[in-house]
Amino acid sequence: MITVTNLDKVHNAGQKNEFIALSGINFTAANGECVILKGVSGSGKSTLLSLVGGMSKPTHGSVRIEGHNIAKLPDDKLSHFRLTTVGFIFQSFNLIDDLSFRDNVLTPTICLNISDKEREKRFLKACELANISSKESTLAKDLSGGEKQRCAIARALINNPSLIIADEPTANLDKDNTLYFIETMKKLKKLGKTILIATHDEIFEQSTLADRVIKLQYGHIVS
Amino acid sequence: MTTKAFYPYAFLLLRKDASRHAVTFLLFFVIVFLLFSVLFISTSLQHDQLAIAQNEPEILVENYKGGKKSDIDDFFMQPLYGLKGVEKIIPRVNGKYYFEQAGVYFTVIGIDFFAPNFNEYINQFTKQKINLASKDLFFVGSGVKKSLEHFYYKNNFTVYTQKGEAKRVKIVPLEDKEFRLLGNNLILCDISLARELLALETFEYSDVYLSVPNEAEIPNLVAHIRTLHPTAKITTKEEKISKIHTLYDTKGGIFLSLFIVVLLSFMILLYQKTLFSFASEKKEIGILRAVGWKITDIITLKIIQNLFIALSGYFSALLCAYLFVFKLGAPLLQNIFVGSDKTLFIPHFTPSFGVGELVIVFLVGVVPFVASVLFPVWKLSVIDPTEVMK
Repeated sequence: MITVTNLDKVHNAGQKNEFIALSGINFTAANGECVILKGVSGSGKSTLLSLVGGMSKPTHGSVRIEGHNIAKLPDDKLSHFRLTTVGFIFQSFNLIDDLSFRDNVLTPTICLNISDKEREKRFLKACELANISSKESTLAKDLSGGEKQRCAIARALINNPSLIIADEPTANLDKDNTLYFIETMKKLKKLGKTILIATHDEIFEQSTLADRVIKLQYGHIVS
Repeated sequence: MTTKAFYPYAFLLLRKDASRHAVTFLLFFVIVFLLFSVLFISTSLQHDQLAIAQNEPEILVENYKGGKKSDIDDFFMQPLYGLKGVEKIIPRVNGKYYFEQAGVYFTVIGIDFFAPNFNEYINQFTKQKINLASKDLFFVGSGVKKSLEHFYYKNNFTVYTQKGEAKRVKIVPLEDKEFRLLGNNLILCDISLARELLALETFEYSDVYLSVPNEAEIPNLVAHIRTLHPTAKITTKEEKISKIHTLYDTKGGIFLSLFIVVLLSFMILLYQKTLFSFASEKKEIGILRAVGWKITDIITLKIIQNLFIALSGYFSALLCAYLFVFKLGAPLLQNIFVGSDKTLFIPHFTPSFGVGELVIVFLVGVVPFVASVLFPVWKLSVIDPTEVMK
């Protein structure tokens, strides 16, 4: 369960170039729910995702996930939260280009004290969910756009997080890969994962994936 | 706490940027190699000169006339025999012989096979080689041997006395390790031949040593000698040792200062490189933070990687500097210490260095290297991952 209450995010607060990215945001998302965030560029979608994903801290307000206010967590606990509870899929995939597909996917497991057997088990499971298996040793920079996307999904899923956050995940994909992504998300939803997706793409609204659409404008929820 | 998978992963990330890290390694290697080489040269020269000084009698008296060193004779030495507390008075015949073909000066020491000499090594040598007591033998150090051989003087060599007379001498190499300390440019020869080469008459000497068993007597004796020979230069063993320390500490200090300047520039370069230059490194830190790595994990990762680079650079520089100085004789670099003075002909250095040198280089090399990388890494780690990845 995600509960966002009175969330504000102000960049460069008190300075000449102060910018209010989000203001008075309130929403909830139940476990297993898929929420689509819509809005034009600069409306605050990515900022909201980074706050819910524990990538940055709000100026005011709270983000409660499974009862814990992650806005108040110290950095090491917040990092652990990102490691175990959140799977983040970025628009530009954010893979380490010179590492192989396998090493990229395994990156979030490196800091976990688990056996090699368990690591391998997680890798196979994540690859199965992301539906990619034959590119283990290929360098990330040599993967196609769709393969990079699946590598990023596998990496996001490797630690079996309960929350999947995707920021413009289909912006760099063709239609086939976009549909493929939606199918993968449906599969994850069936597994009970909560999904937050920020997108411009109309196709998400047309699909049966979205339970709810939240529209953002100038840092406010408008519908 | 790092996990089992952490170390292989750290090296994996290091390997992916091998060419970039190789440049850092190479720069660090060159800086540390130079520092080690200079320290080795300095320590070796200091060690050799201290060893020579330790093996000499307590007081050296040199005759100075009008500010110039002058020879001494029996008249000069006569009053010294009356000094109480002096065990032995040992006059010395030594000087330089210019070997024109190579453009170098050799140190000539006249030895007496039948009387005490000023140096303990020479005394042992004369006892062992008394059967070789001959006027036409040249006992040469390895540097002289090498130099003569270069001009095809393998067994014999023709020397010219100050009167212009040519004398043919037989070359006998000095194999004893101890003589290296006296200098590789050393020629030991019979005292009468040395006098001829150095323009000294019979009963003339270069200077004189006084052996004093009781160290407490030395200041009194120095004062007494000064009354006997007011213009003479009197040097005690303690003063000589102190001068050697000062000389090499100063040279070493100057180099260390220069080294610190170079290292500071290198650290600024590393800092700039980590913080601004390489987008891939910034992005990598952002990605690791985004997927849940803690700040301490990132710092640990960078410590492992940079310690590996720094320690590899440190140990390879140590090994190469050792070979460069002690096996190859530090070509070019030795000029920093010997300058243009061709009398100091040093083809080889005696291996001599302590833990102190290793620790100094570690502290002024490895520690700042790692620190200069960690600070920008920490700065990047504390920023929101999404900001760093942009």
